[in-house]
Amino acid sequence: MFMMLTTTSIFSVVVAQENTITGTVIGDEDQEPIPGVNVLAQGTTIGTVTDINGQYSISVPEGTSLLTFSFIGFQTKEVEINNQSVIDVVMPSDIKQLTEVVVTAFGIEKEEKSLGYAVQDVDGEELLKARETNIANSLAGKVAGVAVTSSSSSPGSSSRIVIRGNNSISGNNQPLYVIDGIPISNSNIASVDRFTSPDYGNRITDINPDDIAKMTVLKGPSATALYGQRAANGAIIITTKQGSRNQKTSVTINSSVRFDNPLRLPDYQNIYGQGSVSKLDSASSANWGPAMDGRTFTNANGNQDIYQSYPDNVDEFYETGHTIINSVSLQGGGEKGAYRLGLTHLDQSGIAPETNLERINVSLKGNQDFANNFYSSFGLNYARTRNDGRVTNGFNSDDAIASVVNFMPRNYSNDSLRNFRNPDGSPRYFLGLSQNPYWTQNENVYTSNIDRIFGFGQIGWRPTEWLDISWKIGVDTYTERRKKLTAVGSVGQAEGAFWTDNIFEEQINSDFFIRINRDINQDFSFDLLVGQNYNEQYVESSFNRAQQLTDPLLFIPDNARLNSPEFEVVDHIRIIGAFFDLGLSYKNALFLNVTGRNDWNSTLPKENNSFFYPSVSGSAVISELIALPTDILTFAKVRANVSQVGSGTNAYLLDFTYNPQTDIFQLFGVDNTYPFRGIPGFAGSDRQPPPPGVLQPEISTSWEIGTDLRFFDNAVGLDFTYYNVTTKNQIIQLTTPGSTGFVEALINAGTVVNRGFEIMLTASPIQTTNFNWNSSVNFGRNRNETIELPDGYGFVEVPGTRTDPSLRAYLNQATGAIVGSAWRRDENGKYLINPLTGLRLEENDQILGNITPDFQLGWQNEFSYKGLNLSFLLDWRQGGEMHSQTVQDLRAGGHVAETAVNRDVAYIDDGVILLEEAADGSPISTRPNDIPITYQQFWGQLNDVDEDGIFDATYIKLREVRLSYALPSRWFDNSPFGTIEVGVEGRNLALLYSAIPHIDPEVSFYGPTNAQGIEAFNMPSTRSFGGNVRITF
Amino acid sequence: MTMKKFIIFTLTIFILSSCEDVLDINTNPNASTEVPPGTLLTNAAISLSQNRLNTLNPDAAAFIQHWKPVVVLTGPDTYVYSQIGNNNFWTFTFYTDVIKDLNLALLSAEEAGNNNAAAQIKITQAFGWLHGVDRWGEMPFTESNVPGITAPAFDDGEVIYQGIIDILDEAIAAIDLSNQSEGNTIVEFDPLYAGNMDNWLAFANSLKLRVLMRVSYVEDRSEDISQLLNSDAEFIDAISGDENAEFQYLPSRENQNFDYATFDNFTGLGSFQLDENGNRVHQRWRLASKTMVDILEADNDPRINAFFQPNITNPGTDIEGAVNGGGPLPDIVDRGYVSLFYIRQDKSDEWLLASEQYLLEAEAYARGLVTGAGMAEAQEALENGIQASLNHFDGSDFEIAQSEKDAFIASLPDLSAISEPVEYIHLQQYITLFYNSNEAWSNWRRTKVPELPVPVGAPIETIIRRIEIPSDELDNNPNSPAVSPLIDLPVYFER
Repeated sequence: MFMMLTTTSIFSVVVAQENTITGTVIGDEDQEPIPGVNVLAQGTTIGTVTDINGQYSISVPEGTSLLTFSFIGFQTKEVEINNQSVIDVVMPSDIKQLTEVVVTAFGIEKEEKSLGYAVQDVDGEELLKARETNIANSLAGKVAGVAVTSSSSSPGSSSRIVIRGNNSISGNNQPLYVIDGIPISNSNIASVDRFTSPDYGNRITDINPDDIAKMTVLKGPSATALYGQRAANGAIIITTKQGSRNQKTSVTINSSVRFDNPLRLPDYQNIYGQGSVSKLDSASSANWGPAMDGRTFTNANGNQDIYQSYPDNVDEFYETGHTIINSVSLQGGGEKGAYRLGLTHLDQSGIAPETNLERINVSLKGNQDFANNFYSSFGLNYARTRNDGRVTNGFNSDDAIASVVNFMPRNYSNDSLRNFRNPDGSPRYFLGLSQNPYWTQNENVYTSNIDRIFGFGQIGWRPTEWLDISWKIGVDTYTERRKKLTAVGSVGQAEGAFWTDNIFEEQINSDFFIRINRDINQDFSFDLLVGQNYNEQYVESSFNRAQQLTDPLLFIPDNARLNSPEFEVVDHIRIIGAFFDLGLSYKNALFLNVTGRNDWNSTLPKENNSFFYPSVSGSAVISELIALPTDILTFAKVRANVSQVGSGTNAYLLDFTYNPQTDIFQLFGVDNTYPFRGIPGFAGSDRQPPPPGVLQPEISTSWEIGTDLRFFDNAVGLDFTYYNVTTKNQIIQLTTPGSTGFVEALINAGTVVNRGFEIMLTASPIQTTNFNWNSSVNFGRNRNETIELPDGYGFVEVPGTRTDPSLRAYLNQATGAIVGSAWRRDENGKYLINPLTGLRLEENDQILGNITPDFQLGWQNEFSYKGLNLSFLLDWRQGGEMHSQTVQDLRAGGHVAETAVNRDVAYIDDGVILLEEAADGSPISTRPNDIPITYQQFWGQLNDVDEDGIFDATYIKLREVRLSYALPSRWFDNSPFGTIEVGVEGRNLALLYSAIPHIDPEVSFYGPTNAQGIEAFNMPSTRSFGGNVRITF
Repeated sequence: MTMKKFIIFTLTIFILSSCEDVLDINTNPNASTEVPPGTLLTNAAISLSQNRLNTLNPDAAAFIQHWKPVVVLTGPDTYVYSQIGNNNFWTFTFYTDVIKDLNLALLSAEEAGNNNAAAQIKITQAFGWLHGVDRWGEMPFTESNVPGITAPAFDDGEVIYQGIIDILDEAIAAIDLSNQSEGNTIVEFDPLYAGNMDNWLAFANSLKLRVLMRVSYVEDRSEDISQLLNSDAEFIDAISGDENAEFQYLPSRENQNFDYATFDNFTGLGSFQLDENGNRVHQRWRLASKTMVDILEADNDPRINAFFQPNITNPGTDIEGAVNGGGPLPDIVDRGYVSLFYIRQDKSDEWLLASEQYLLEAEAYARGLVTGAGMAEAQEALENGIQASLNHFDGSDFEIAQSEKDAFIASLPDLSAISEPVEYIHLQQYITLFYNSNEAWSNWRRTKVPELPVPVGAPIETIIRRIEIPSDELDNNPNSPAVSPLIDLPVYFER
């Protein structure tokens, strides 16, 4: 033995011997080989990667004691070499993904534990559970602190996301969307004002959920300091799917069918029909007539009709919509590159007749390593949408649908409405006067054709292990061609008309990075990113309104006797930025990160267009620094962050301008135009620009602390964050009195604070071999407050509303106070009654409520038993008020059940008669009310003041349910199939609780703008359910 | 070390990465930053005229009972008017178009030394201001549209009327009749007089007389009035009407009278009465008022058949006026209707006519406000004024026959013989300002002639005296009154 030892030691002195070790790495769950696992000889820079069969071969110097095996989704394994030459490894799954890598700004991947701010991921699979056609809606209830509002259910409609409350009173509050590192457009551009138009949609709806691998939500300036101004409200980082290295080619086919119908329709009464004071009136749109007793009468079209109820008339108008999605994708990769190609076709028809949308998405992505340490990647996406038919919202347009359909008299049959033409071809009106919705949908069609291409190209050089230099350029460009017809014979436009709007938008983004990632010594390492960014956005709109058609079927400008073209460059912004991100880590357990960015923004005056904003964040993984009882507290991390970000404003706001005039406003009609007697007209803007050189950027300063705790071997996880975001120098259009000559002045003024906390609780209550139950709760509570306003102003308007009620930001209150008319009351809260009429007295300009919610909570549960998987998501929004014009009008017109009770009784309103009042309106003497009024008068006054339309906006929804079954894989062992999965799924299935009657509280009249919490004759939202088959080869 | 040099090198690149030229793209390509002042003048004038034709005149006509509206827009009959319209007129037409835009145009005209252009703009602004102060009583004047003042203080009537006179004086002084070429004068883009500065000067002087007379019952303006009328100043005094300040419209849809458009756009609802061939005979929504018909019939005034037409079924021309406010309407066959002379596509907007000029002069002379002039001058002015008024319909279907004109002039009373000559002149002013009802309402509030019954159903107990300050101004201007003055509060110049 002595001899052998001596021999060995002689050998080790004389020759630096290398041992070759080989082996296979398999996953512990499925016992399958894992390609791509990193194998490192610890203490050296020698490493390799397992091949497609999970096998590796590594030559390590004598004396190396440990091999480490690491791969995403698995726990890192360290194996002692112990002179073995074959080491097979079983990698345990990293179920809770302690070493999860998270995508941060610019697509840089970092370990989650090193981040000093809260980040939440949504896996691509989550987006495919009951696919939404607007992916922004898929985030509802899944991310703490993220509030999602979809505006309507029509195909192509828009969606609004706000993270941690509104920071800006009049500016943008939506996050930046980034795909594969490139910021993309989420525009919502109005052609004609939103008050009388369809929901224009927003561009995030072009993104195909089938192509998304992951969506990461960066919640505030802390996470987005590197993106600069555009991400002051947070960012949603989307990573598209790509092939993996050393992965055999796989093909995935996915097919879904879903059916939609209205989630909630008003609770109609079916006793009383058209008329007033219990007399039948066939022209009336209100239901104050006598009980429907089957008598014959002459209806509004002049025909004999029977006075009977049609309880389902409104329901019959809404058809069952369907959505069919088919997608195919091919992905794979070799040792030096990978690629993926995906194709998806979506075909949707809405619940309103003649509304259809078809979309094709093509997604191509690839990456490749080249010789001399060069690498490159690219992505290309094409989205093509053809929308034929969209519903007009609201009530101010003759084309509005819901304001007619939802208010059909109770004795009016939908079949009668379906007949929208008289035998001679002329239009058949609704109740003799209004436009028939079937006419609107068939003749006055809105079409929108969108062709969008976005993509990127990247080239980089990694000359050493620690240095990475790359340049990435991305482009997002689309054209949207909109057209809205008004056929000859339409109400208000008897000679026909149409408008077209050709919108072109383009964004270019260029990022140049240098990244240095080095260990200083055994304990310390640093990660430095230095970069330069160029971003340009350009939007133009070419609009034409054509009127008075000669040939009623020809909708081209040449056929119109009057054309009013308008060309406008809507926006043109350039931002140049330079930034750095320095990360230091100690023992992979203590992390410090400092970032700084300087932006130059073209929308601000030259004197103020450059500004710098920094951030500092730190995190400590306590469980790796101190010994903790790991069976109870498996992982503990604390984090803290302070950061600042600024934002500019829209283009072209700094100069005073004059606009050439075309139409001339008159009381009725649209006849007069310029030139007037040969003279052109110009008018100055009614918005006062800031004095030159004065406008400054809005600055948001935020700090955040949080902790991430895992208990009981990752069976329970708790993530808690508390944050405070203060936005100063709000760039607001301040309402100025008309006597200044301006309606608004653009100034810096005002400070808004958002503070709150988020909790993410995850648990795996049951984890057995066959049955698993995972549950997670996302909770976010945000308090918003305007803490400073310009001198002398108690409030500023929140722009966007066109009629009462309006929204305001009052000092020391949450942004979004609903202001409108209310009933006058005495000091005991009793209504003041008019002594002449017995009806209530009104007053204007009262604060009626606030749209800001108290908290939002999402609860997700997932059960799996062998191949069967059931998941459901509950979404709870608590608090905040909303105003519904629909509910008011349903009641005032006697349409709904509550108005059908006690109709024949005279009613004395519960109030006091105002006998004498002071100059300021306060009552001096009153007496109890004794003036009887009819029930019709009582209900009829309920849409006189805005107060009666205010309701608590709390709701609890069953957001999605999915039941899927993956056929056992052993059935396909010798077939080309990989997996086959079938499922049934549903979305927005039930409104479990709602404080507001008759409608779904989750709608928005003004679309995704800042004017939220207001509903006025929106289309009913939809519930959808259907099935899905997925096959992989 | 190589790494240090590397870092310095890359940082230098980044410092150079801010390039100011690249960011210089914020000039608005969608709008102009400088425009010819005539275009702003036209826009302001049209905006004002549209409000006069669609709202101010029809509302006032009901207020002072020139006619009675039925079927549509009947609110003003009982002093109900559109709050939104009031708001829009204050903010958009008045302070934005007429005051702010024209202030900017004035600035550029004065900078360029274009005196006549400056005068044209000022006269238009003065004309606008008079509408405002007559209507609302008190409003921001000296502090309006001043950069830096976001809460303009309200001025009272005394300050504003003097201010209007000052503006007119400046304009009159600036006019250079010898140089009326384009540039110094707005010619091609002048919608009122096409650059004729003689007419502008006449308009300015007549407007000044109107304002002086307006305050003549609450201020002693006899010196100013004397000076004005005794000077050789040009006034709008062509009896033919050639110098009238009338804003013209064309008989084509794109440039038609706004008031006419209201009728023309609703023929389906019966705005016009048609004969069996489908030709329009008369309109059906503005009835002859009892007040006006009684006055005209009492004097056998031939203008009754120019102001009003009988119903298509009426065999003759005798009409019965309708009472303003609540009350029974005359039988259809007896009704009178505002004539198609006034409701037509190319009807002009009457800003200041020669008839008004003469009748103001007559009143000034009759009241002894002018040194060296008395009843004789008043009589002459009265007859000229009536003559001009009778001639107003010449050339139209409603032309008054020469014999009737002569008979009526002959029947005019001898002012030196009747007991209340000034009251008679006031009555003629009331009649002659027909269609320019907004001015008639201001004049009535000053003269209180004729005595008008308060319409049944009105919310106040007098004839309406003013319009409320719009709620937007009250809400947004901390220096506005807490509550608007009510509609029965007399305005500054009332007797």
